[in-house]
Amino acid sequence: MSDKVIVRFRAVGDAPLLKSPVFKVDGNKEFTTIINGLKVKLKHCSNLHFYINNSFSPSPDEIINNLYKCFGSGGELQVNYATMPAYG
Amino acid sequence: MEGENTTTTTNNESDEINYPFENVREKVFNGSIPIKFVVSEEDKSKIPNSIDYELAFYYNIPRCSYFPIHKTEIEEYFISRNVVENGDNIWYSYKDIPLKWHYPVGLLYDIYVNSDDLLPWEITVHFSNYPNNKLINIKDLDTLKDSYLTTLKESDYMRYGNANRVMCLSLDDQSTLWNSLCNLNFKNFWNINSKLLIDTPWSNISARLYINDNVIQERFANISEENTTLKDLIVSWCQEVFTEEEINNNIDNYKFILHGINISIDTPLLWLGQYLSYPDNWLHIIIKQKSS
Repeated sequence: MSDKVIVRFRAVGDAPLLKSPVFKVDGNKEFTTIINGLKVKLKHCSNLHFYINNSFSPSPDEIINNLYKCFGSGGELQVNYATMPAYG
Repeated sequence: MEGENTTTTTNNESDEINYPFENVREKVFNGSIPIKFVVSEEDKSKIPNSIDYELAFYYNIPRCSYFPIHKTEIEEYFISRNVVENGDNIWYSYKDIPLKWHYPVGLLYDIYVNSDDLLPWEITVHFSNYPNNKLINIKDLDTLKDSYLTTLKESDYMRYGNANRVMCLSLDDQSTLWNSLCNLNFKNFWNINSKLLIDTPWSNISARLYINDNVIQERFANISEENTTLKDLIVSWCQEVFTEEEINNNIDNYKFILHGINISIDTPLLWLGQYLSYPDNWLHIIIKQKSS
């Protein structure tokens, strides 16, 4: 069984777009891996906020596979990123 | 007079019918753990005038609370005894394991402490060398508040497929919820929190299982069936850890701990979710092998 999870990033508001928004990540890693990975790609954005399905920010220590199993759909985990806090 | 008495009795009865297990929630909410905070050897060695007695702060912390809520009391004790100048970088460990500030204190206790260990729970308090690679950074109490509210949203999403109930709470309600958790005001807390749980059926259970340093969290759609028990959840989620046959035959070798209580695996799951969830509305259940 593959432990890779397909993550699809979606920009919120005026957050910069990614050239390719889909990544495969190790599902056994913590969500912080996704946070750090995107921060490297968007170096010029000092303050990024992350959400699952436009709803909530997972804790950085949550396991990606758990998030995928609970909140993934269509074989992907949708991660939204914003330069300002969004969604209440 | 008789009429008045009858009315009063009827009101009481209807209260009991509406909230038959309210006292379970209250007992769980008010549970606490006596803790002994001992300053780390590293910080002790920095004290200018070395001391030859043990510096320890004894404090009772509610199981449902979080360490940062009690930071002021803990740091004050050590600051007033000239151990440190401030508690800006405070963190805690137990048997060299850094304790996550965003986990409820009772959950940390149930994960790490064996049932035959004696109370008070002895924890090391550190004032330097914050383990950035093991603990999430925390700026102030607002960091915990944000973390608490987003965990609440995640559990809402889990149960209903969206976080609308938490998103629709007014700012006043959010503040009341948070402040009553900090101040341990059961009534105020549940006045608001019951709005987040009351709609049934739930489409999923918001639960996390803790086994051997792993956290298991999945979908479990059978929650709406009345006769679904904790055992059904464990059979469904723990296939990689043990088979259904093992659970049937060797269940006595394991214990399932929630709020420090050994829970029967035959307990209805929906009932657990409604009455034994932590204030973040997650069921945090620890599975341990019984010591032989």
